[in-house]
Amino acid sequence: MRDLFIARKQRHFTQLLKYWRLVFNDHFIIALFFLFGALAYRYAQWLPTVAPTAWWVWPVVLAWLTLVTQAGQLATLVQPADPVVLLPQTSAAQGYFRAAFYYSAWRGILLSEAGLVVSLPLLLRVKDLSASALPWYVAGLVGAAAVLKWGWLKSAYQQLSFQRRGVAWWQWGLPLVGWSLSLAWPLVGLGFGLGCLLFKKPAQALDWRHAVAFEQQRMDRLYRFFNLFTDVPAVQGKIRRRKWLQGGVRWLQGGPSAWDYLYAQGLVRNVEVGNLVWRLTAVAMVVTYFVTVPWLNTLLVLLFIYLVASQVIPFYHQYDQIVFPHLFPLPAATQPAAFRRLMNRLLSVVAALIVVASWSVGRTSFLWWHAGGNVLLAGIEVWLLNRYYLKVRIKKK
Amino acid sequence: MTLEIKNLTGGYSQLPVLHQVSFTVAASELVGLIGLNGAGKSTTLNHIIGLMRPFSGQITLNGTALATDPVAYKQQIAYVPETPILYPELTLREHLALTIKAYQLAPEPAWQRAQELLTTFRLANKLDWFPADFSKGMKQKVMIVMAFLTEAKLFIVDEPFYGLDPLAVRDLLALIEARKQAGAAILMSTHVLDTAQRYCDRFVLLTDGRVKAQGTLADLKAQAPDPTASLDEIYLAMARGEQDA
Repeated sequence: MRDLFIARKQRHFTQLLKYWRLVFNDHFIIALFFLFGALAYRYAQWLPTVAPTAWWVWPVVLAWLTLVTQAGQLATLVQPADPVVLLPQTSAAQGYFRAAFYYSAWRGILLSEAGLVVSLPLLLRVKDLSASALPWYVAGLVGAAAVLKWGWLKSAYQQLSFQRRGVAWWQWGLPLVGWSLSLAWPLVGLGFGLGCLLFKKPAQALDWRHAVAFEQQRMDRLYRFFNLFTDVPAVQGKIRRRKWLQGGVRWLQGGPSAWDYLYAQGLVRNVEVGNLVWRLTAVAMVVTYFVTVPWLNTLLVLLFIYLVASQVIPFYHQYDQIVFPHLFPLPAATQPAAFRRLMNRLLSVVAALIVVASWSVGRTSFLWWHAGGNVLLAGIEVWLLNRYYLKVRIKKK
Repeated sequence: MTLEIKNLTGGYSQLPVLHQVSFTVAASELVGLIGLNGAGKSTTLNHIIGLMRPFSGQITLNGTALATDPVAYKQQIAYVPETPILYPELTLREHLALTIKAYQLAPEPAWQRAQELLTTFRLANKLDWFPADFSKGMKQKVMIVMAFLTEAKLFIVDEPFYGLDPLAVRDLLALIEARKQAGAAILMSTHVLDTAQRYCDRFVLLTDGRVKAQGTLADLKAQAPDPTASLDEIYLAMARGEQDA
């Protein structure tokens, strides 16, 4: 069974590598380099301004470390067919899950240690320590980070069994209490963590269905992240009813056809596409609000409108795999026409929001020429995107 | 004559699966399309509903061809697929609303008909459910309700009995019978031969993408070595003969 996990792990790595290569493309690496550089620089600049008596540092660091302990899930790589195929092997599956645990443990502990390293400079600003005590204190915290993460993963394993009542509380309680003790007295915290490991009862009968659902949720989160950068076939959009947005759905339906109805409901309820549009619009509004160089501001307005449009256009093919649209007695031209009406209305709202945010360019005195220019250019862009770009992109498929 | 298929040859990309298939389905007639897995039943149905384009041959529905007038052609067809796939973003109520819009049905009588169908298939209290909340059988029922909500002249039903509970199978057969009596033509593909034998007026037996035999049960019996054989036995003998050949 251990070999099965190793084989799956290798396949999993190959699959992840494929996606990571797409995520960490040259441009993104450069952007990350600058982003982390800027953050580290700001952090270094800010640290000396923290007073050694600042009491708030303790709860902040405690919250941070408790949160970081939650990162790095138990990756079991179990598959939906396992409950059927491996059911007779449930007792032998211990070897499989042990391998999965160790694989998750080193990754999780590394993450915890990295979180600790980030918070240490801040912590040491307020912790009064002699030079001889410092290495012991830090070593104690490093040990506590490993033990608490180990204990957290043990609970995560217990989550997969039928005896999982209260485990979710424990996953927050253990790091919270453990880190509270460790920050004051690292050895006490370490002892607490080790004690919990010894006395916490081990997971019992495995709930296969829950284990599969748990793993699928984990992979879903991962795929959702990759899906921000590339198309991941495994990502199936979640659906929210969004009753409160039904007025918006009616407005988005630019015409009476079945396609207008379908696209408007789909766009609002599909979490993947709907949220992407509003997240991008919100980011665009924040960015254009803060960038006050007029020409750059206008360029960003136009760029963000284009970005939203290009993210929504694949939604045109959302229902290609469902038989009904092919069956509906509707002229073929109804579909592109309905989608164009939807895009027109959606992009108009998005453009209006971004343009209003961009008016911050004239914060002290309103710049009519700039504000009017943005309205005009955004309007022309929306028209061009719908008139020409949409047609080309739809045909491309 | 409602549906007329003449010398249909078709398949996937350049590989023909169907060879010179010809048969008809008349008004007020239930025709069973019978065949083993891979015999070409679903491929035939996909050609009729327009999901696949024939390499050669003609398919007409009351004189209308898909290629010449797709809207008029599709207006006459309702389809219950073998695998139920619904719109994840739409509730049951919205699926029905979409069907009413797409087929441009008069809303009031259509909703009334929908209500009756929903009651028959015990879905009336699930109007605001999303497909994710439905079991496979319930999804199948939703597709049946959507199809029989229309005023189609030809109903195409692909393997309708899988996943349905016995009560729903009985209700579906009653519904098919009622539509047949009202003048609709029904083409049903199935493996469940004893049910087909009891309900279908005529049969088209497919093996390896070719029509091996067609006609009423009496016609098929007349062609079989044993004149007392059931449809099941006739088809098995035919399929076995094909394998041995």
